[in-house]
Amino acid sequence: MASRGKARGAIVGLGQSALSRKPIGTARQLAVAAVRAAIADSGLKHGEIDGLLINRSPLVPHDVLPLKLQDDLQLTKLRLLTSIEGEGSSAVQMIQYAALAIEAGMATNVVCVFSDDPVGVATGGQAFSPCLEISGIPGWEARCGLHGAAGAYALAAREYLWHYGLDDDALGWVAVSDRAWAQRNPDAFLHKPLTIDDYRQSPWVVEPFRVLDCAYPVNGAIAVVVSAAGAAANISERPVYLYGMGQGHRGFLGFATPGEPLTGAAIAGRGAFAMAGASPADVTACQFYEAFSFTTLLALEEYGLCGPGEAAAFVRSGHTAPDGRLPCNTGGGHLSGFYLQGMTPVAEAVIQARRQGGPRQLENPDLMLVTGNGGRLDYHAALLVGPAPSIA
Amino acid sequence: MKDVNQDVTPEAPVDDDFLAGLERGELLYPRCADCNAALPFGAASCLHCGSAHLKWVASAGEGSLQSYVIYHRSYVPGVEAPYAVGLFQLEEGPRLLARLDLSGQDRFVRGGEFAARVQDGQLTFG
Repeated sequence: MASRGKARGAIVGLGQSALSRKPIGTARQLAVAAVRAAIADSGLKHGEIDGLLINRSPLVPHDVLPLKLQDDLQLTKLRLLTSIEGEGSSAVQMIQYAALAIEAGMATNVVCVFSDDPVGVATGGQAFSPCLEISGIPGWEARCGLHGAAGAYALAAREYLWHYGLDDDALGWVAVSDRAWAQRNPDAFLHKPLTIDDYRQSPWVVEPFRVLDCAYPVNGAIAVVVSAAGAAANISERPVYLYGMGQGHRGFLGFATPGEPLTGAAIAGRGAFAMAGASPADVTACQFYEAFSFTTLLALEEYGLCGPGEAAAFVRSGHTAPDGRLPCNTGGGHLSGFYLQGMTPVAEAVIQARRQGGPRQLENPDLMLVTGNGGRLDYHAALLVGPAPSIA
Repeated sequence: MKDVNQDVTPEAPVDDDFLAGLERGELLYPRCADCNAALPFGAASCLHCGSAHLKWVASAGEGSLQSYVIYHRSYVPGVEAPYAVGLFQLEEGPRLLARLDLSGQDRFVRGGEFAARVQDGQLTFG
């Protein structure tokens, strides 16, 4: 059993490219910018980077962000190099594998990068039209017209709302909470005040999801540098320590088997809390992967922060919003901040742990849960992070 | 030396059989050929006995509505929005995704009973 809060690694650098709704370069070019920024932020020399982990969007082919990124970056001394295939859980997974490789002596300083350029000249919606496989019958989703991640997630959301007897406003309060945070974040993309009435006027995408239930895609890249916990304080003035790491892979099969986890998130959470020697009650803030509003409700319950069916009332009461007792998605999240898949919650956790949040800075970022979620609730990874070398 | 692969020759039903069934006007679902358990669509082995011998069986075509979505914008050429897609629990057990006739929207409630209609290879519950 792990001792309480012993750090297993640390994030010592955070960097990003420009983020934009306009085309500003290829994903590969944006990745280079983010990696360079992260290395500069860490204070490490270029030659001290000996690991590179790559996360591309699952919606694009491998050659959009190939291993040859190494050559673009002229990282010539790598001892660790791979592309992680955990879909939306990949960003968190990269950090986990970096920490494990460092602990095993396979690398010293590992840079982890996500980059994507989904927003073209014509539309920002194209990235969301391919089908997610949820039926078990190849090609069947397209024949049924269940296009886009939104459709597959909306189907799970309706089942959830029905199961707990919730109205559709349950989703809207998540959007309202995120927007309240975004208003305090100059780097967020959507700042206009948002009420639940505004939410109800938002156009449908795939009922029960409205436009405001869906992530706000941007072009851009974010990278972090991971190093050993023991070395972190000598590299960075404000390292962010990793206390717990877990994964869980199990799709959403509905409510047919009471007592079993609804998704792999519950499994990922158990692993992360066990490693950290902490419990959900110790968590001071959450940065969730929430490509759709619904996933924040489900994550609050799956990770044990709310009881089953209780997340909607929790969010509606303002507990996840500014001045709430469990701040969530404190940069505006995917809905009002920006959607750079798993790196959106990772970057926000780093900013908060370093106390660089400006108007949105949390009083207590001591133990944050950071999640990744890929497929249609299929692939989950979680981190527990904070600013101290061990949990306070 | 024994061929380690000889016992794992895939005998799972190929999904073309499901589509071919629809073309014949039949709604099929998978069962274990050994223990006869009804299996989820997409299973390649039996969850109960581990057998890889699966078979397709005709469903009575009665399903209860577990969830649905309504597309307000169509991504499908020739299909006009709005249209609905439902998730059904077949009476025999497995959950099945299928088109849902939007004209019955007043019956879109949890557990609502719907019947499969197979016409020209297309499956719709209404």
